[in-house]
Amino acid sequence: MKRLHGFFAFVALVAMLPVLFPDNYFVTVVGVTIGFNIVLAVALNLFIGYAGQISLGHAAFFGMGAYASAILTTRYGWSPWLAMGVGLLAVYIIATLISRPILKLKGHYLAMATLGFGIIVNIIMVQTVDWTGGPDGMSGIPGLEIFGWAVDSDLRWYGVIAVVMLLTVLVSLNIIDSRAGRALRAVHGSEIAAQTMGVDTVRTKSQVFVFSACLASLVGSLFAHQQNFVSPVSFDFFVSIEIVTMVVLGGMASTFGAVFGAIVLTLLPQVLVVFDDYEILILGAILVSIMIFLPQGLFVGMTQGGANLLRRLRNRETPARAGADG
Amino acid sequence: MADVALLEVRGLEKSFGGVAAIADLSFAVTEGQIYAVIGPNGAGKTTLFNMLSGVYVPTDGAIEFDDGSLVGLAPHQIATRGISRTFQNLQVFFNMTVLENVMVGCHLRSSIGLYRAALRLPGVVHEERQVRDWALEALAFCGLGHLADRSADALPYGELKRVEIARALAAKPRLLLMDEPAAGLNDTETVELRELIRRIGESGITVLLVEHNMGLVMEISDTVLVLDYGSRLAEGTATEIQNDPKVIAAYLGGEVQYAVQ
Repeated sequence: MKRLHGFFAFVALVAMLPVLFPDNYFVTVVGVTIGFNIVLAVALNLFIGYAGQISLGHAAFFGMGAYASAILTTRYGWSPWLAMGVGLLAVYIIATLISRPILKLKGHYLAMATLGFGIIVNIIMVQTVDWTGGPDGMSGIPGLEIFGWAVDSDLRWYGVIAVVMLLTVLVSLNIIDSRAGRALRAVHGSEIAAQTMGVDTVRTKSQVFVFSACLASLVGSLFAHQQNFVSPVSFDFFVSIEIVTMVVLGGMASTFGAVFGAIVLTLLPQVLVVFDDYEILILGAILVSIMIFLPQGLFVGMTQGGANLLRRLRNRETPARAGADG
Repeated sequence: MADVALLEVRGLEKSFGGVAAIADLSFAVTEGQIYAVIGPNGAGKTTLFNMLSGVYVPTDGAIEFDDGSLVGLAPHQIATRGISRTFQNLQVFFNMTVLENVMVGCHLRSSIGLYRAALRLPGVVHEERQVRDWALEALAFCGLGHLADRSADALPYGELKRVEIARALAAKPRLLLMDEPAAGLNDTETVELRELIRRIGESGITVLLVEHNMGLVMEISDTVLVLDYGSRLAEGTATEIQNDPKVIAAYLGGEVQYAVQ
């Protein structure tokens, strides 16, 4: 199982953190936020990193899941699991319906269309006050219970989100290393060549868009139950941009790149609060520098750099060994 | 011998804004043939190819393949009929390894979809292994076996052209469309390509070839079709074509016709 070595190392790291740093704010509280962001980034990476498309409205699906859970549990008293399922189904249908017309577009036009979609959904969240509570949001969303086991502490939430996040990473790795994943990358490489090899490119793009939206919806529902509160700012345009930034920052077309991007972009603002008013300036400067010096992204750039260094070292050794043999 | 036509084109027409790129073109390709289409630049060769592979929809006319019409089918639907192609300007997946490129060629011979792959349900591993073997076989056939794990963007042009051929062959097509396979190749590479096309033909795959390299066309083709201004100028064996005054005139200009006579 060589292809999963990196994954198992990551599982070990995620499991060790709360043991090594018990009751640490950065592990259990920030860790949960990082978990949400990793799922969102890894899911979106399938669509933009691998299939080469763009979506500037992905926070909308995240929000739909969250609001479906919030509304159905608080206003109608549904069980969180049923609400989550219904939210997922709704997002599946909506994403499928909009994917066909939207995915006929390419490049800037696709960016505009998804951007517009995201903004429309956000406006609905703000305006339909009777349902969503408008800009003030909704509170009193119940927590989650798994077969009688209440997810009622930071540590337990860490565990639940860690499992969901790790499964998402595993699913992404599985997809990429398969016929479906090659079809995605083929669409990115050359649509016309993919088609002549029998890949239905329209269907391929639509399928991964919907899949990515469904993952965002699921994690949105979990977010609502974990926060016990939702409001439109958690799902607005800036959040969509942030998810895209995570993917690009970590390195496109790399699952662990998306993971890395989500970790860095969630942690950085937390660390930079010590700079007070200058926080956002410094954050911006760091992001710009990364993109200038590591345009392939942090993770991809560093792993490639490391591999090149190793190769150079090895090449330097080879002639010496050849000399010794001769 | 009563040869059966695998591909039959009748009265084909394609115009772009009133300008006919292909006009009233008819020809038939027999199963097992190496059939070449030649003609000066702008004669409509690439337009013809794009219609055969579904990139363009013909303005008029019929394209029959194995008794079914190809008109109006999307490129990926045409692929399911058993037609594969290579491109004049490279369409390699530069974001993949050589092996992965060729594995995409096996897309229609395998069936695992997104959700089954995501959960890695039983059957996925087995199919992956099978696809890998098919792809390696196609690479070996094209003399690229040693490059399987290289990234496609690290390969020189001549090898990339063969990667495209291997990818098309991995689909196990009945008809292979090759759009100027020798363009940009040096003499050694062209000789290798000639042998490769010959072996493809011997393996039972029908080849339809568009090519500018006359030496190559004349050596390997069973039948040659000459296009000029979008319609048929001549059709016949290589020797017949080489001695056809109309063809000589079209290629070398009117005065030469007198010189020949």
